[in-house]
Amino acid sequence: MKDLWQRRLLQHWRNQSKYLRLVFNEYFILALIFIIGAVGFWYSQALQHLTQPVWWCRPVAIILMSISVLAFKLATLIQPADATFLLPQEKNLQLYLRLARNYSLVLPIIGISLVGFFLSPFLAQGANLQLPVIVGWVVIALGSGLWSVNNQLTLMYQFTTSGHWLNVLLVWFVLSLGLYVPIYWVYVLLLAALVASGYYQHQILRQRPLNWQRLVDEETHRSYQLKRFYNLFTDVPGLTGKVRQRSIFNWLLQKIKPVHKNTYLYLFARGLLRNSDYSNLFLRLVVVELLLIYAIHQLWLITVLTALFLYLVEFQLLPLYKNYDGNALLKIYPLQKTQKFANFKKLLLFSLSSQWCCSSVALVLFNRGQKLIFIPVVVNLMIIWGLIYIYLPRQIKNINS
Amino acid sequence: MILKIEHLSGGYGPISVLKDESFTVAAGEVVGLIGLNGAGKSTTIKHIIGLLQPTSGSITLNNLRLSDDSTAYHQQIAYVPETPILYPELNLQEHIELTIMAYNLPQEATWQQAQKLLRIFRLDNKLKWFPVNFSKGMKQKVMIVCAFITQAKLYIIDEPFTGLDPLAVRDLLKLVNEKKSAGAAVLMSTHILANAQQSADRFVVLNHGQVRATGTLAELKKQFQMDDANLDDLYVQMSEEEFVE
Repeated sequence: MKDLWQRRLLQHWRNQSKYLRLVFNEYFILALIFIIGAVGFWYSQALQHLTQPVWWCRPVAIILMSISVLAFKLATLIQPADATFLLPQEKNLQLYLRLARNYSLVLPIIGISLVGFFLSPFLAQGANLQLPVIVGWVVIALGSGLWSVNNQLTLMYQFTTSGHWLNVLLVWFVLSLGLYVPIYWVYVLLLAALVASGYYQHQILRQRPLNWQRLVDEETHRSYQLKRFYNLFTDVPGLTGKVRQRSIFNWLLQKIKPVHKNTYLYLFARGLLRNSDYSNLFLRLVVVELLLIYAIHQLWLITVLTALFLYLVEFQLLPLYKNYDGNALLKIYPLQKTQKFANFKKLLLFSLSSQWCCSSVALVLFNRGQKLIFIPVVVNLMIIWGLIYIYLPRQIKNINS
Repeated sequence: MILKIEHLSGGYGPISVLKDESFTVAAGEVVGLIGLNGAGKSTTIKHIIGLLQPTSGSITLNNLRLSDDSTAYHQQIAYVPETPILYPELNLQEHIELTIMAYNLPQEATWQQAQKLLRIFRLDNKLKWFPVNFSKGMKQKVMIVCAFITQAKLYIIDEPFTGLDPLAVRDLLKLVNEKKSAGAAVLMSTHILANAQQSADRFVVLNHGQVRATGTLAELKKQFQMDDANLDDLYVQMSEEEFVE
């Protein structure tokens, strides 16, 4: 089992380094430096506005720290086939899982320390807390992080979901206490919780069977989240998004006439709507664009930004064109390639036009009195034309070649 | 003749799995394509439907090659794959509708036919369900329904019986018979020799990527020189033969 863990870990690191190399390319590092600089600058400016303690400082810090603590998952590196092949080794798997738990404690320690480091000036200014108190709180956060990861291991031997929610609640509770109550009591509480959970885990692992389904599901989900992040930078093979019915929009789908020339459109439209990869992406980009329109009122800047968002949506929806290329049946249907391109163009035009409608309404609404607001509206229309009739054909030609 | 395969060689990349295959499937007949695992049954089928390109030889469907007019070529074929190929984002009704649109079939008449098949396979109350969540057998039935509503001239069915319950097997064989009587050609690859023996008119026996024997059961018995054998016995006999290049 130790062998198995080490082999899996090595392979895991090989895979991760492949992707990380692609993620941390020169452009991204440059962008990251700029972003860190900008955020740091904004943070220091914002802190200067905090001249006296505010009531919302502690709750905000608690929320941010809780999110960070609960974000760290147990990395078991279990594969779906293990539920079949390793089933006879269930008892020995405990060693494997303990090694996985130990490995999974490293990242939370680093992450929580960093978050604590960044929150400390905020807490110092906004809640008038002394450094030892803040450090003590970060130590509590570290403790709760370790507790959370360890708990996830215990959860693998349980068949109810209550343990998970208990985990969440207790982390919140402990972190909140840490900022409102003398810290030594919280240390005692945390220590007691750690000891109790350790004992509980020891008992559970001895007596209960492993919940293989949960073990496999959790790891698959964790790995999927990671792959989705990498998918922003490169093509990750075998990544299929969750499918949601979204029947409220069925009326839109009915508008596509079920005739031969609309075959691809019929398929692409449902792919866009129901595949949460695409629909969530589209929604997120439109929402962020609307928020920016609300916040920014400089004409030239908002023109550039709305145009940029149109480009982003087009670029991110392009993979839908190849989404069904692995489906052998589509190669067997009596369909022409020209139909595929024409139908995809139609769908993209519809999506970008809807986005344009939303953004134009928002532009006019949030810029009443600005007579020149028609400029971004008209510019965006031209951008859509350029994207669909000039840029898209070139992109499709690249894909097809 | 409908499907004519002449001196077909091909495979996956540089590896030639099929070596100089030749056989035909005529209208109104069911041909059973049988052979061991790895004999080249699925590879042959992939060549016929156009997923793979032959390195030499030709495949014609009613004297039409894929390269001549791929749309017209594909209009004549319906395919039931070995592993169900489904769209995660479409429900059962939409799968059928997509097939109708793709093959340019008349809506009303085809839906009537589809309803009949759905009733036979006990899927008629699941139109709004998503087949990607069905059990394996139910997925298989979806593929069968989608293939059998087309008005194809050639039905290619790759190992259709795995995962089907006995009722569905019986219903599928009945459907195959109906299509055969209506004048279609059916090429069915299977391991379940009892079913093949029951429903096929002729057999094409593949071994190591070559056609080992073709003909009716009687003709096969003569070729293998085993008068009292059934298909299982011939199959076992063939598997024990040495591979001669």
